Amino acid sequence: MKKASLFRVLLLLLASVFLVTAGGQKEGAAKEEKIRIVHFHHTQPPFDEIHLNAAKSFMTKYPNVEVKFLMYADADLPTKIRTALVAGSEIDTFNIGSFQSTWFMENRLVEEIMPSAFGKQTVQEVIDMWEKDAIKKTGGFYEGKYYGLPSEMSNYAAWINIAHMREAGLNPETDIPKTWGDFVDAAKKMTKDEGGVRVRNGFAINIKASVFPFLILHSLMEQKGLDWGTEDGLFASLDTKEVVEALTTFTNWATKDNIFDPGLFDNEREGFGNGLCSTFLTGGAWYWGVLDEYTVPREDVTPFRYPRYKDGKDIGGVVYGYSSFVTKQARNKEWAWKWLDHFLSRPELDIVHGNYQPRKTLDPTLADKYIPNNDVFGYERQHGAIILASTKFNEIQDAVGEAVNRVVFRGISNEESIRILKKEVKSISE
Amino acid sequence: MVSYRTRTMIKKAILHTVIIVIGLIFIFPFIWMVLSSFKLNKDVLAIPIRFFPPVWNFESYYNAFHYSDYDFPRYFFNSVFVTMFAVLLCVFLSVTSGYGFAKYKFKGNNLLFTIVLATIMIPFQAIIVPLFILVRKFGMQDSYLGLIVPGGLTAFGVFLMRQFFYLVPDEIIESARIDGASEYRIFVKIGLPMAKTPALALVIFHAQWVWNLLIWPLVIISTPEMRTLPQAIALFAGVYFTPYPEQLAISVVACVPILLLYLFLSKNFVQGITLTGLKT
Amino acid sequence: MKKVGYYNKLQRHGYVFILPTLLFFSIFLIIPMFNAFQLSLFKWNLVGPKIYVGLENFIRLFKNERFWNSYLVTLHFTFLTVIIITFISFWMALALTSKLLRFKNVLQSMIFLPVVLMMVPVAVVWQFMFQTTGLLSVIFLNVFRFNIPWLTSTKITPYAMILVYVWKYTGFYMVMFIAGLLGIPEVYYESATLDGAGFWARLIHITIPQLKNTLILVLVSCIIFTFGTFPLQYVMTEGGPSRSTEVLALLIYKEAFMYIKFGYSAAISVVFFLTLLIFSVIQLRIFKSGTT
Repeated sequence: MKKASLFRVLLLLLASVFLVTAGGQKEGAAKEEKIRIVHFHHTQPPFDEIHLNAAKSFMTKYPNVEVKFLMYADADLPTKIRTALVAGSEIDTFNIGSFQSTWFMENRLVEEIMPSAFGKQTVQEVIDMWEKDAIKKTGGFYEGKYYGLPSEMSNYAAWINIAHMREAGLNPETDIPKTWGDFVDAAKKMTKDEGGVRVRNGFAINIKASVFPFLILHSLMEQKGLDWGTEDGLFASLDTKEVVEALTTFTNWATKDNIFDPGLFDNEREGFGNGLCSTFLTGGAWYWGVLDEYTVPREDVTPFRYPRYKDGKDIGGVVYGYSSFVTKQARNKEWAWKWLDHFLSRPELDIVHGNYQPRKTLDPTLADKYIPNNDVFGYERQHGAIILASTKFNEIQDAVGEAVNRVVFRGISNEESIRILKKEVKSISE
Repeated sequence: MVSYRTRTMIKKAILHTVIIVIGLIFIFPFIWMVLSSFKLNKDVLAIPIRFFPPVWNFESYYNAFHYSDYDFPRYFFNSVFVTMFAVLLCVFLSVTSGYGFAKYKFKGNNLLFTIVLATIMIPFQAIIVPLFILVRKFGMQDSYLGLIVPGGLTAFGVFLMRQFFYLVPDEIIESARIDGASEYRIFVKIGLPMAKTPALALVIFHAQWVWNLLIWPLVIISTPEMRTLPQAIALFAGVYFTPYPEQLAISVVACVPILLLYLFLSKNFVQGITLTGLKT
Repeated sequence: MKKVGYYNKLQRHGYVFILPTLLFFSIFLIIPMFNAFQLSLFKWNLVGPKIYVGLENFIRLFKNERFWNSYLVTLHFTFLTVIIITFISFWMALALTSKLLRFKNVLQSMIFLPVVLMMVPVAVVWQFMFQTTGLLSVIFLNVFRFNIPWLTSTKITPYAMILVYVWKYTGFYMVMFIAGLLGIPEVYYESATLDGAGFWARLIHITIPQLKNTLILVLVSCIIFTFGTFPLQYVMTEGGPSRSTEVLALLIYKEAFMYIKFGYSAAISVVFFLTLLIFSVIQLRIFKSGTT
């Protein structure tokens, strides 16, 4: 007995020694003279490899700098950044989507663009290194100031399975839907039921994650002439009859038109890729790369412009993006910007996998080369709806998603649902 | 009419059948999980549903473990190291305080126990941020200590051991005291042996909880080398696309150590341990 | 007089035994807990200053329909789940300690297996079972000639969650019961059988009374853990469809980490905590644990 307890005590002592030294090692390393830059990013195969190489090449070019490139699942990244900021952990630069970036800019957590790090005199010169309005569209601009540099600019197009069209007696040359009415008609023809069970959805959307219905509704609302790009605009729109019309268009897909059964699968990008739905509305140029992982071949698929309302505005799918920022607590801000400049300097590597970085150095023909039907994306990008810029984005998005779900799953009327939404949005903005 | 032996044989047959069927129902999803890790991504959730892989994809395991810069042997080691010490800490604290609460009637016993138990009545999400700030004050973020210490604390362990220490008959303790044994000697020679089975149960419970813990390591670990396995698995959920076979492959491998631990320890859950304790 | 003094001195050894635990828990659990409670009186977005708002958060949440929906969803889930799990795990434990059964080791591991799986692959697996063309749907169609919208009905999905949760955690509580059963001296059963007691008599007069402490452990911890269920709903339904599975722990998470309303989230945590505290104290009082 005595031996056993002695052994245990020794083990514990050993462990504590180990632990203290394990913690101590880190301190020692930090004492070296290297400039450290810690960057937070979302993981996204196959780009992870490219990004890590960018960090390596930067360190080779500047041996006095150490870059730590940390990756997290996209859904966890905002939480990770916030907790690092609140606890004063190491975080010098980070990359975030335009849905989330407003919060960081409004709360003064990020630095304005520093022209000197780019060898320029004014902020405008740095902005001109990217396409016109790119920074605004990718969430790097807020209240007159510029904070973020675009790493990705994407926009949603509509996608349709041509093989399904032919099977349903539709002609891919002439029958690509132009209005929402056409869209529903085509989808109805391509919907398949077997033995009372839906085996193919004419249309599908991930209704579980509120962001997706929200983004599609955003386009529908803007097409109806409502302003969903600002909090005030959104709130004001809830009193109109157009907002009910737009919501009804969407919810009918699940209820009256019956082209969408949510029980078949969750993720529409997956479902479409596996041939389980004939259309979807949440795919960007990057979808070509994703499609290759599934069964449906590229020849059977084509993106097309978002359907419009017959007398609605000419607005397409949403435009969104990702930007990189330098934090206020960055230790060496000039080097942080230098790092970002380097990191974002090879758009030609990203485009191969379908990721569009709107930097002017990007050879325009590459986009056409690597993104099939790039003309569709280009047109839609010019006519896209820019996402709501709001610090309460998540809450509003959830409330809107719930407005849809109430109608689809609880059978509540569209008018009633808007009334409840109005109450919820009001309490959110208080 | 029917002999005792036959009745027993029938009972045995029914019992075995029912339990085996139930057991199969319980592990069926796991079997699907393992089989799916060998499928191609498109076959995992394809329609019509497929149980066996139409095409066997052995590359999924290779791909999963050779992803980018990931250092799975290191993550595995981290998980093992952290789990081991967190469990040791947990068992040590639970056994000692469980014994204290159960076997001694001191002032404030009930109150203090309720306070301890209260710590599992608050959802972990509520204390993550204050705990993180605290841990950072101690400089424990990004270290093994930061994972082990919070990971080793659970009121459940205290509760468990307390309930089982109630089973130790007071008479035995009294007689040992009369024989002149000190309290600590009694604890070690009488209390501990009786705690063996519940302590082993606690080892399993706590080991699987620490091993699978995602949210705490996610918050306090920033250095890639210090990652634990659940974080590595979570990283497979890409923005636009999730490679299921690879994610399932790692998940399968990740649950094997705990399973082996259980198989090893559950030998103690099949034989009876008589707790009369009296030396005859 | 001396005897009483000696008795008290003896009992005070208890303090020594609980000291390490109290120390660790105070620093790493109780202090953060009080911080969280304190936070419920403030408005905080993590990066700005904490703004004192008094009881405003509580007034808000008591008027909020979403909160009450969440509270009821959680109560419904907890009540049903605890009853089902306790019942099933008890009988499984009895079966798996029976002398009539062989391969106990392997069979126990099979039932315990779901406990050790991570929630992420579990969600993938059960999606396979629940989708309209999934395994369970196929079985139902072929056997019962109708299909159930497992994950797309506000009425059915809560039960689907109960199903998965029961599948996942029965093994956990079963092991607790087994540990308790193993502690019952053989001697009691032997003498009862000699006296002619049958299976049910032995069960009611020996097993259940002897299992009192274990039963308390199982009930109280099952209620506490089930009430705080989070990963399952987070990964499988995100609280849907239409918030029908939005349990309290999920709402607390969303308010804090998605809506960045840490003060409000803390207030919900306080209500959560008080609910469990009251439940547990009542239970512990009614079923007084003790030496048998």
